[in-house]
Amino acid sequence: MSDQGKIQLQKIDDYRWRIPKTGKMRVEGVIFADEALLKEIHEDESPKQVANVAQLPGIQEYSLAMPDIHWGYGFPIGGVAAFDWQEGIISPGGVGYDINCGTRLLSSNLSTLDLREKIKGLVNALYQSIPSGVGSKGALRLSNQELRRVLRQGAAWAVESGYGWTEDLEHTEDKGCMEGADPAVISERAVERGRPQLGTLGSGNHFLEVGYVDEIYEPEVARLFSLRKDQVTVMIHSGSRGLGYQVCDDFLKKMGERVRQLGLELPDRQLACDFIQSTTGQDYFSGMACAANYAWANRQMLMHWTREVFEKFLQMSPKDLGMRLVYDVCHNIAKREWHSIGGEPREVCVHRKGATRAFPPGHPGVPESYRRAGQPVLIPGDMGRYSYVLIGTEGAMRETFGSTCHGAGRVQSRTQAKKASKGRSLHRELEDRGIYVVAASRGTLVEEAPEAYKDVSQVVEVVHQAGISRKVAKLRPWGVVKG
Amino acid sequence: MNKYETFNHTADLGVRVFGRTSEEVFANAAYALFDLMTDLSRVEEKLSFEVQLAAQDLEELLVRWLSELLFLRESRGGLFKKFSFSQLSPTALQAVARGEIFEPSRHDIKMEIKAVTYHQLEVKEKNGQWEARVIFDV
Repeated sequence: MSDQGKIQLQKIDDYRWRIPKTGKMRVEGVIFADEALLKEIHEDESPKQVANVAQLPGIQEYSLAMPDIHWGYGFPIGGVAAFDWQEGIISPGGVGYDINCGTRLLSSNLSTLDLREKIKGLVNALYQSIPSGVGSKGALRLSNQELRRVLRQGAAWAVESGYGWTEDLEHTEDKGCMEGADPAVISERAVERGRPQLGTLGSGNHFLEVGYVDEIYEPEVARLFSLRKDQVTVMIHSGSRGLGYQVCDDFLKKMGERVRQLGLELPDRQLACDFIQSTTGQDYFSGMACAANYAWANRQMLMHWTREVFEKFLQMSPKDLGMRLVYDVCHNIAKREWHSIGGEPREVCVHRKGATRAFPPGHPGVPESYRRAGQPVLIPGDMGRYSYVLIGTEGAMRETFGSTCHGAGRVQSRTQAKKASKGRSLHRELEDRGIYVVAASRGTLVEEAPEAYKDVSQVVEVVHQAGISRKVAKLRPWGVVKG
Repeated sequence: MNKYETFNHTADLGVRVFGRTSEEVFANAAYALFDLMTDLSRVEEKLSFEVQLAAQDLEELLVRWLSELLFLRESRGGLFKKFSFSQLSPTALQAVARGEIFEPSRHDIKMEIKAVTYHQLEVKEKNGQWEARVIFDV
């Protein structure tokens, strides 16, 4: 094992814990958590992973972890790290397998009263129309040439092809297209895996959820995001499917070879990396951008079909439904961004693995319509409790390279969750709580049982109190399609 | 001796695999992969796939071997239960995997394994017994 004993954490304040610089660490580590969350965090030894990331060349200021941190491969999930664009490294393990796994939120003109008698029928119709589940394949048959356009253009390809509206792009992180995507660096295998899966939800923790706004914390910002109490919303959580996995896998292999050539000593093979300015580093960035664009096109299509199902099932026009895209965020990505380092602007590569961008008011990366308030941040919780809409802050810019948490974070392994739910009817339990769930398999449903996750409100409370984002609204799940 | 046992990992699933030889440990790791995925008693040995691979060391070779089988599963629908090796060195292998193509009417996918990771990867020999540890992303 690469983990040698427990890491000693020093309390900075109620929401911040320092990992002092020891051994080969180039910078300190900082974990955002309260005492209660910290106990769980300590159990899975993810702080050791925060310290491991601090050893990588070119890391700036701190190796960071958000309160939903848990043990990942190499980099912890919930980890944020910025590397100098000229001197630093880039690492596929710092992004994760599901490149641009992310969330989007739709608002609507509907209120809970409008759907009271119809929610089950609506969720069943969504389940029928939107491909989900293990190895799901879509209805689309794309040529390789068309897929290359998807990889270059992202969500814009989807809109051009009739999936959704032009204004959706404005409300998508990076307008749904990451610069620098080059399909030439993608393996045939990635193309082969990705082509039949475009327009599918996938399995595991991916979902499509009809919910409603339960509580508003900042009415003015909520209004700007077109959210109001008791309004029906839809949240979609999905990523780049087999294509992203293959890109990650291909580059872990390539970078593993490079690590050996360069003689880099790494505490874990899954931390394989290369300098951003190297050929492999540049190729990975271009390949990752392709996968990110694929994921944005994917979520755009899933959203388009969701709107169609609502229109058909409720016999309402798009205008009457008003299913506007509030925002789309990615939470597994490496981004080329400018940040202030020691008072000087510096170009860095920010790795967010299970972390969300949270840009402050006035930042040019925030859509114009939201710029005076800040960037919307979407935090899905488990399917039994709630999700949150937050907003980015100056605090995030100062302390976390414009980043915040991404979700609840697991506390139980999938096998533990399965054991705990033996003999229980999760469907019934959730229905007793007013939540109707349709799942492609019982397997995924029990693995995703609410108690397998941290309480997302605890996670959100920490980022809110620490000032790296602020609460805007709380959403509750009502009808869920699980992959 | 069991072919393998599973252990918990917060987000995912790890396996410890046993064998008397490196070939056996590689075969049992592949068996574990498909055994976790489906009911292998329903899989017949109808066809075979040849696999040829190279890697930097035995540990990476194990990840590449399992990833290759996972790719065959995802792209061709292959479900495999028997594995034999005509060559297995620390840097290369030549193998045959036997099984059949997934048929929804007869086969059930219990669990989707999405990737084979390098995280805490280990292959070792002790007192003539081989053991490997690998974590799957599920």
